[in-house]
Amino acid sequence: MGRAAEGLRKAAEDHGSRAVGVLGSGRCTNEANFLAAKLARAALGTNSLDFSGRIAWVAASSGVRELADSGSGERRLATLSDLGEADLVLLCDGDLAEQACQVAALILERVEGGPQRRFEIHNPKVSAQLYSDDFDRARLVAVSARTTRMGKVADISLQSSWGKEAVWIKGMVRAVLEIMGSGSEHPLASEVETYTGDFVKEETGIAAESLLQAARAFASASHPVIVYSSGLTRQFHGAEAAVWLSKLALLKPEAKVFVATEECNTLGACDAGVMPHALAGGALAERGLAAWDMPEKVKAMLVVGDDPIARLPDSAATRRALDKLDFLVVQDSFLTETAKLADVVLPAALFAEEDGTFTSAEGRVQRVRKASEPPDQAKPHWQIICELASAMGYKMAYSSPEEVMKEIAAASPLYAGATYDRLAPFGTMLTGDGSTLLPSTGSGPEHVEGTIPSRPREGRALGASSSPHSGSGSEEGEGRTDEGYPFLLFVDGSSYPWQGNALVENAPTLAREYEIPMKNFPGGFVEINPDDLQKLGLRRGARVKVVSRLGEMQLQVAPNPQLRPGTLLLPFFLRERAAGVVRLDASEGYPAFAPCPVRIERSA
Amino acid sequence: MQAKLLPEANLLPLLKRLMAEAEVIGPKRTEAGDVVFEPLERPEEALHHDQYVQSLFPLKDYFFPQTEPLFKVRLEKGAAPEPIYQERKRIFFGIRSCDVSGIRFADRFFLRDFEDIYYRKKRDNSLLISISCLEPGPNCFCVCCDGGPTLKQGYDVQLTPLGEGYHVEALRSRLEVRQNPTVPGRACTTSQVTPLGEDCYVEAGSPKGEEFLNAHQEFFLPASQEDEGRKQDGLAGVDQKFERSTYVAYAIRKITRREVADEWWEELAQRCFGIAGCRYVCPTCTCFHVVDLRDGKECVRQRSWDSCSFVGFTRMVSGETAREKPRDLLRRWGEHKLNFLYLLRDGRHGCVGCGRCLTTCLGRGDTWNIVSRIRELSQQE
Repeated sequence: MGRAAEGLRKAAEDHGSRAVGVLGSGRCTNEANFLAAKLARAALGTNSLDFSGRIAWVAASSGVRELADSGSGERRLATLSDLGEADLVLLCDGDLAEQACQVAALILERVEGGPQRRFEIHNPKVSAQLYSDDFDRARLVAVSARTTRMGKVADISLQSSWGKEAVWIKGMVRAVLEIMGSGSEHPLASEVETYTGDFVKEETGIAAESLLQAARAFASASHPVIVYSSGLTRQFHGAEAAVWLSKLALLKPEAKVFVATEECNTLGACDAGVMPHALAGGALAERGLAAWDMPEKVKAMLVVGDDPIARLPDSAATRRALDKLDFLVVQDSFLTETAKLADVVLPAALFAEEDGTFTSAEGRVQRVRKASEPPDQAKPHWQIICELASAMGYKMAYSSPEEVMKEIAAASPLYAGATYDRLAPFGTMLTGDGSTLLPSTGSGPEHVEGTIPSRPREGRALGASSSPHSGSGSEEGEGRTDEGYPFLLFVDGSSYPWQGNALVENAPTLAREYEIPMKNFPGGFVEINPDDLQKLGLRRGARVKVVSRLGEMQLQVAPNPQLRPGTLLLPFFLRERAAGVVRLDASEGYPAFAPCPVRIERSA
Repeated sequence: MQAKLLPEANLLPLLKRLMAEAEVIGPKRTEAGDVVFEPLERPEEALHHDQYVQSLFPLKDYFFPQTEPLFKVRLEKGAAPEPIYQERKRIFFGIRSCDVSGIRFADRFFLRDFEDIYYRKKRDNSLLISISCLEPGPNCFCVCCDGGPTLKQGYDVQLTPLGEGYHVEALRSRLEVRQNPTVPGRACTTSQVTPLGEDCYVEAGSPKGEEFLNAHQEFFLPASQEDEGRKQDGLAGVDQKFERSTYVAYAIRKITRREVADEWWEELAQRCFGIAGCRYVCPTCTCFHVVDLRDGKECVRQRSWDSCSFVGFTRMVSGETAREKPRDLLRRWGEHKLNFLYLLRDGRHGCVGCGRCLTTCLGRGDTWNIVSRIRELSQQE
């Protein structure tokens, strides 16, 4: 502890406090995140404060911001109860069943209907309706680049293309406007004028008739809910898509939006002020470095329960940068890839070994309770932070997480009602008047993370140093294939989402699952439509060279019938293989993989 | 068979006495409203029989823990493994008929062909006092699976609430599970208690149950013919209260004859999220995975629950995985629960009708759905 405190203090002294960065985590409690933020801002004096899971929230926050700005005066973010009352669900996801199975289950329940199972919904009205005999089922419109499980049970299933979500959404806005008869008077009409059915078909592959069908379903629904997850928000142009989904929702007075967050406490971490640009409560702060820029630009870091190597797109560059740091302190429950590089590792309790609160994707603050004692010297995150701060000469004396929560409630009006005695047993919803949605969306225009239209092109090849990759990017950024590069390669994390999760990796039974994809394809693999595989004359597992304009990589091919012909999918956890092959695009404020035209060559 | 009457006034004193003798595991309600079976700290903590139907988790964790260290060994030449036994004496009070049925099913797995010493020790040190159900829960279908709501055999002590007391009966178990040459013919025992309001009709169903009734005579009154009549009256009509009922035999026939198409499983598997919740809460699921955890110079062999819903479950040394697709994983489960071959071997099909899979399943991949949807096939024939 002494060494950790001394190292961080020294780095701040030698290089200035801005040379120190702090990462919180979307998997840590509100209390731990709040204290991490306090330690960064007050004890260390740095604004470089973030968590790597926020990368999946940046795009969503633009969408949420759009809703807040509408001034409709109503809460437009859906709760799970709203989802239970929906008569139409428009789902735009990577694979919700894999990424947020509870939400997927609720949708399934709502769509398939009938008194099957007593799902705990804390709203008597919804329960009564769900389990009444004259159950009125919701319709499901699922749009995804892969044919997912939810797509198979959907009433209308559309197969889009990665990175092109904004195109079909605009097309749908246009169709909905036409159906609703608002026609050309609507302020959005001119923006979507060119997004005709044919144009959308050409760009995304969605048939004009299917899109129209979906638009009709949306237009005729009385309580539609739009659901999206990190399958959309981590994507190329995800922010634009999220904003346009909000615009689509705003066309209907009763429509709401539900964002299935990637980590259990993404919202809570933001609300606790673990953001480079805002404090707890939403007040603006001088902008510090984001998680994805931090390792390369600071000299020392404190990482609280985060694993940037596993979670950020450019793992190789992140690893390299972390390795170069003068001093790295990691507090975690496992020796993660990040912790392996640390100068000091502080063993921390797991979520089931500490008390605290999480804020769920619907904005419900809930208690998490200690179920067992942490092993050996491990301590809860909040306690470690207190001790670390005190060792650095900044006194932090909290006797319990409850005391920390009182301070959060004082700092953030949204949490004013979230005292521990009011959280039992099902937590409490963050409330606010119409436009006060969540403080993480911020209050000023500076807070819009993904400004639309996008900023000048920014980006670089995966694995390259931080200097912007300029010039040659324009063509593959457009994601156009041609004769030389007939396939489009995407990197997406919605399949195998557990990869990179230390909790899974270290549980003996689950670790077996973890190893299977790589045991099947020891050389790493890229997924391909089986028909394409046949056309290429390749067997399952054949070793190939995937060549882009930037570079090439050696992989095995794995057939996946969920993919449409002409696309290749590299799972997110294998992204290091694509170093120097694909481009990272940062034009919306966060690094996202740009669709990359490639060709496949047989390996010698 | 011995039958007694447990007057309401004697219930708490009896529990108090039991708590002095052993650890008493009883039904409690958590703050969030879930029912759990946990060690009682005060007799009053135990829920009254009409305050709960079923616990969230089955009792298997007490006999076959989710993670269980089996033995440790020092990594030195000649070091012998030191087994880690759990030999605490436990009395399970207020468990349900389906819990007893589930434990009896697991007994066959752990004690019949190959006796698992870890399980045996925990089982020998337990006494099962169950309560007949008078009100089924929303997901219960034990009535279709011979798992409840009241038991004719298999329990140690069974209570049946009579309105003014518990009826306790001790049945002599006919199933000789144990094949221990030193204690020939020793039967595995279970006690079952059925609360029917206040007083209970108490029956002993095993030597253990008889022993229990004899040792605690002061708490019980002799049961009359009239009491037994009251017990029967109270139980009459319970079968009609089940919201869910289905005909299991049809599903057994279709599955055994391989007449359920892959496409059908595929359709159902789309509603399965692969979370393994059903397998973990199933009282008859007993698959486990064994790992050696090394910590410095010491190694602990640990077994933990496994689940056939994981792809790695059937991965072989050669690298091949026998069942990879969700439909095959779900089918595997359906086969084990409902194939007639298992019924021949185990004496019953692998479902006691507790409905926990239904409560837990995020989709529709539970046993009840498998059975009732296969039944729908009959209408197409």
